[in-house]
Amino acid sequence: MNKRIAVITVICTLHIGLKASVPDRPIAGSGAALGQTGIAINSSWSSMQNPAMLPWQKHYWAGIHHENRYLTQELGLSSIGAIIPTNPGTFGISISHFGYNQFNTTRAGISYGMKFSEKFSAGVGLNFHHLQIAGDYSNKNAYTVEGGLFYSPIEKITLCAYIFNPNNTSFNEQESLPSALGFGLTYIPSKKILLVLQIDDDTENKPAIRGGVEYKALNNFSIRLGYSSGNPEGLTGGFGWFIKGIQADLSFGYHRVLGYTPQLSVSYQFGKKTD
Amino acid sequence: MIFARLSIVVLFIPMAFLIPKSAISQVNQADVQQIIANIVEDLTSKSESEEDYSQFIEDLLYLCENPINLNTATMDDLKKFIFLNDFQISSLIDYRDSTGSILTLYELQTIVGFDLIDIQRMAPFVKVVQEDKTNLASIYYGRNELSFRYRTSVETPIGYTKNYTGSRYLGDKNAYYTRYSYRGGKHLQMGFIAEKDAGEPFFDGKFKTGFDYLSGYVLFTKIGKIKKLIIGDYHAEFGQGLTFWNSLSFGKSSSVLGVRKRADGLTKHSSAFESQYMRGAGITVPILKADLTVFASYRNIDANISDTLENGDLAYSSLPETGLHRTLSEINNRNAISEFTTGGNITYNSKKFKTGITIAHSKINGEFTGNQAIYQLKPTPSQKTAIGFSADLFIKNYQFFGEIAADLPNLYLASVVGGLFKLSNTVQLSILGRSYSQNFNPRYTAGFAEGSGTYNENGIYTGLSVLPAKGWKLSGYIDLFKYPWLKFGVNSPSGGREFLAQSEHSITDFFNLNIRYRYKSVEKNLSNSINPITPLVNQTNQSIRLQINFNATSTVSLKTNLETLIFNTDSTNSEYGFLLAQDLGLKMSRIPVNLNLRFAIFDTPSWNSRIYSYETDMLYSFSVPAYYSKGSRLFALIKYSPKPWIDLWLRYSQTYYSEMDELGQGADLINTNTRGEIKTMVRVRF
Repeated sequence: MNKRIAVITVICTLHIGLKASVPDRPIAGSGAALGQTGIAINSSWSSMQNPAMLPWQKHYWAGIHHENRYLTQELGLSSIGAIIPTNPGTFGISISHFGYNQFNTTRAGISYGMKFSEKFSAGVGLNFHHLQIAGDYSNKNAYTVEGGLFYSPIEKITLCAYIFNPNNTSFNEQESLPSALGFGLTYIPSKKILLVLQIDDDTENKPAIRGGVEYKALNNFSIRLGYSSGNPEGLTGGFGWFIKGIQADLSFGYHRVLGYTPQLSVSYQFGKKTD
Repeated sequence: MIFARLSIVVLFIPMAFLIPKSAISQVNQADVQQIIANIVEDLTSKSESEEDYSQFIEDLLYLCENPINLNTATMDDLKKFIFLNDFQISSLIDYRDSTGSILTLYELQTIVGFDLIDIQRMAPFVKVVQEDKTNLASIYYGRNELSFRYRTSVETPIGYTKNYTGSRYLGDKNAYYTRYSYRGGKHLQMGFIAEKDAGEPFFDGKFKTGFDYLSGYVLFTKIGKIKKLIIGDYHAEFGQGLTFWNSLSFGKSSSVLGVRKRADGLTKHSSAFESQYMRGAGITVPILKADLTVFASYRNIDANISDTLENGDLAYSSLPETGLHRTLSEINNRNAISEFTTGGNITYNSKKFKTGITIAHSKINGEFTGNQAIYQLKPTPSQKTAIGFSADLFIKNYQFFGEIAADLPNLYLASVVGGLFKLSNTVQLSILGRSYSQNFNPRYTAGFAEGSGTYNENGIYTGLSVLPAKGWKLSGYIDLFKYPWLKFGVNSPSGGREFLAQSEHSITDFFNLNIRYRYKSVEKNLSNSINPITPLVNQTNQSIRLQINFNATSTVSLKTNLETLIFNTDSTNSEYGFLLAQDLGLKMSRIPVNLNLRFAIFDTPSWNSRIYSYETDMLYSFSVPAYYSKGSRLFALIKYSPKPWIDLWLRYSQTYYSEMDELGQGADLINTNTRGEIKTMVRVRF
C-alpha cells in the first residue's frame, strides 16, 4: 500500500503543471512494445489510434486491452475496440477507461477511414471525453476531433501523420485537453522485420522520439523491443502470438523511476485464420 | 555447385570492369595508414581521451605486409580484423566452405553482410590465392622496424624557466620516443620502446637508464606444444573483461555489434602508456581441448608514499598513472612501490561454444592510507583477488555472451550478459545488460561500462544497425544506466541515458556523407549549492556532426567537418559549441610525398561545450584534441617516403585563442595566445 501511495505521489508530482494530462486511451497491441508507437503501424490496434489505418483492415475485428501503470491498481487503463469494414470506407469504435472511483476518465470514439489509392488513405474521428473527480468537483465532458494520413511511397515504407484536438477543446479552464501532432515511419526491410520510428509532441509535454524493432521469430510469434524518449520515457518489450484469428500481445514498459507497466491486448479477427 | 561457381565467375568478370576505376585504384593504391587511421577513428568515435593505439596499429601494419590468405584463413585469423563483426566472419567462412574457394576479393560483395566499404577496408590486409606457398624466407628471416620521434612545443611554458617559483620541470621541453620491433615469421616477435616525455630529465643521472621509460618484450607463438610464451612487458585479457583485462579495450562506438569483447589472452605491451601493464612472463599451453594460460608479474609502479609504517611497510596515498615524471615530486613517486600480479585462465573453445574460468590476484606491497572519498564504502585494499566465469554461445545468426565475476573473499559480484542478433541480412541488433556491485573492484578490469570503471553500475544497452540500400548504413544505440551508489561529483545514487544515431552514406565511390547525432544526459551535483544536502541536476550534452568526404581526384581529397554541441543543465542556460574544420589531403603522383592540411574555426563558450575532433597524424600517433574557447587551429603534416624502406614525417600544428592572453595553468602556463607543436618521425624497415 505504501508503495502504491508513493507511486501515485510521484505520478502526481510529475504531472504538476500538466493539468488533466492523464492517459485516456492506451497504445495497445504491438505498438505498446515498440516504444509506445501508435501512428504508423499497419495493424488493427493502431487503427484505433490513427484512423487513416482503418481502410487497410479488411476483416471485422474486436479487441480488449488492459494495463496497470507501474503495477498500481489505481492507474488501470482499459480499452475495447472494434472495426467494421464497409464499402467504401471502414469504421472504428473504441471506448477506454482510466483511473479508479476517486478519479477517472472515459473516452469513447468513433472513426472512419477511406482509401484514396493503393498508396494513400485518410481518416477522421470524433471523441467524447468524460472526467470524473470525487468530492466537490463536478463531472466534466468534452468533445474532440482527430485525423490521420497514411502514405506508402514504396512497399517497404509507410509514412503517417496524426493530429488530435487541433481546435484546442478543453473540459474547462482548469482541465485542458492537449492538442497533439505526430509523424511515424515504418520500414519493413524483410518479411521478418519491422522497424518503426515516431516523433510526436503535444501542448502539455516535451516532444518524444520513439522507436522499435519487431522480429517475427516464428510464423505466428513475434518478439518486440522499443524505446520512448518521453511521455512516458523508457524501454519497452514484448511478444505477440497469432493463432486461429486470435491475436495476443503481451508487453511491458520500464520507467527508470516508476518501474514496470505490464500490458495485455487480446483481439479476434473474424474470417482471418492465418497470419 | 559447379554451376553456381561458374555463374559467380561469369558475373564477376564483367563486374570487375563495371566497378568504377576509382574504386579499384582506391583499394590498390590505398594509403594503408589512412585506412588504419579510419578504422581507429571509427572504433573510438566515442572516446574522449587520447589513448595509445600504437600496438593496435602495429598489428594491422604487420597484417598489411603479411596479408592473410582468405582461402586458408581460420576463424582466429579473421578475428584479428577488429572491424569485421562475428557474423561477417562466419558468413565468409560459410561462403568459402560452400564454394570451395574464393577467386577474387570483389566476390565478397555477394556475401551477405559485406559492403564495398568493408571490402575496401579489408583489401590491404588480405590476399586471395589458391595455394598458399609458404615463403620460407619469411619464417627464418625476420623484419626489423625502427622508428624515432621527436616532439616539442614552440612556446616555452613557465615551468621550464629558472626563475619559476613553483614546482619546476627538471628536464627540457623536448620529447623523444624510440621504437624497435622485430618479427621473425609466425613464431617470434620482439620489441623495445624508450621514451622521454616533455619536462622529464634525460641522461643527467636522475634515471638509471637515462630514459624515463623503457619497455620490451619477446613473444613466441606456436612453438611445439606452446601456443604463446611471452617474456617482458605484456598484457592479458580474458572473457568480457570483468575479472582481468588490462590491454586496450574499445567501449561504446557506432559499431553496435562491437559490444562483445573478443579476448585474445596474452598480448604484448608495445606502447608508451606507462601504466596498466605487467612485467614478467606468461604462457599459454593446450590441455586436452582447452587452453591454459598462467602469468605472473612483478614490477614497480608509481605511488605517492606518505609514510613508513611501524612494521616497515610503505604507506601510500595514491597511485598516479600519468607516466609523467617531470617535477621533483613526480620523480619521487616514480616506481616507488612494487606490485605483484598473477593469474590464470582456462578456456574451452569449440565452434558453437566457448567457456572459460579466470582467476586473478594482485598485491601492492604497501598499505593505502589516503583519504577515503565520501563515495567509497571502505578503504581500497592493497590485495585483490577475483574469480570469473565466462561463456559464449553461437547459434546460427545469434550469439550470446556473458561473464560473471566475484571479488574475493567477500563475493561482491559483477555480471554482464548480452546477445548479438542478425535478424536479416540487413538488420542487426545487439543487447547488453550489466550489473556491477558498488564494492566490486578488482585491480585490472575493463567491463562494458558508461562510468569510469567496472563497478557501481547497472545498465542496459541496445544497438541497431540497418543497411537500407547499397552504400548506406544507419546505426544507433540507446544506453540506459544507473549508479546505485554515490560517485565522484555525485552525492546521491544517480542515473542517465545516452543515444546515438548515425548515417553513413556513400553517395558515389568518391563522395560520402556522414551525419551523427548524440545525446547524453547524466545527473551531477548542483554546482555552488548552499543546501546541506547537494541536490542533483540533469546535465545534458547533445551534438550533431556532419562530415563530408570528397575525393576530388586521385591526388586531392577533401574532408569537411561541421559539429555543433549544446550543453545545458537544469539550473543553467544552454550553451552552444561550434566547430568547422576543412581538411585537404594531397597525394603527389610524381614524388613520394603526402600532404595533409587542416584549418578549423571553433567557438565554444566554455570547457563544458568543448568538441573533440579527430585529426590526421603520423604513424603510431593518434590525436583527438578538444577544441574549446574561441579561435582557430591549423596543422600541416608531410610524409615523405624516398625509398620503400624509409618514411619521414613532419607535422606542425598551431592553435590560436582569440579571447585569451595566457594559456594553461601552473607550470604549463604560457604568456601568449597561441600554442604550437612540432613533431617529426623517421621510420626505417630492414
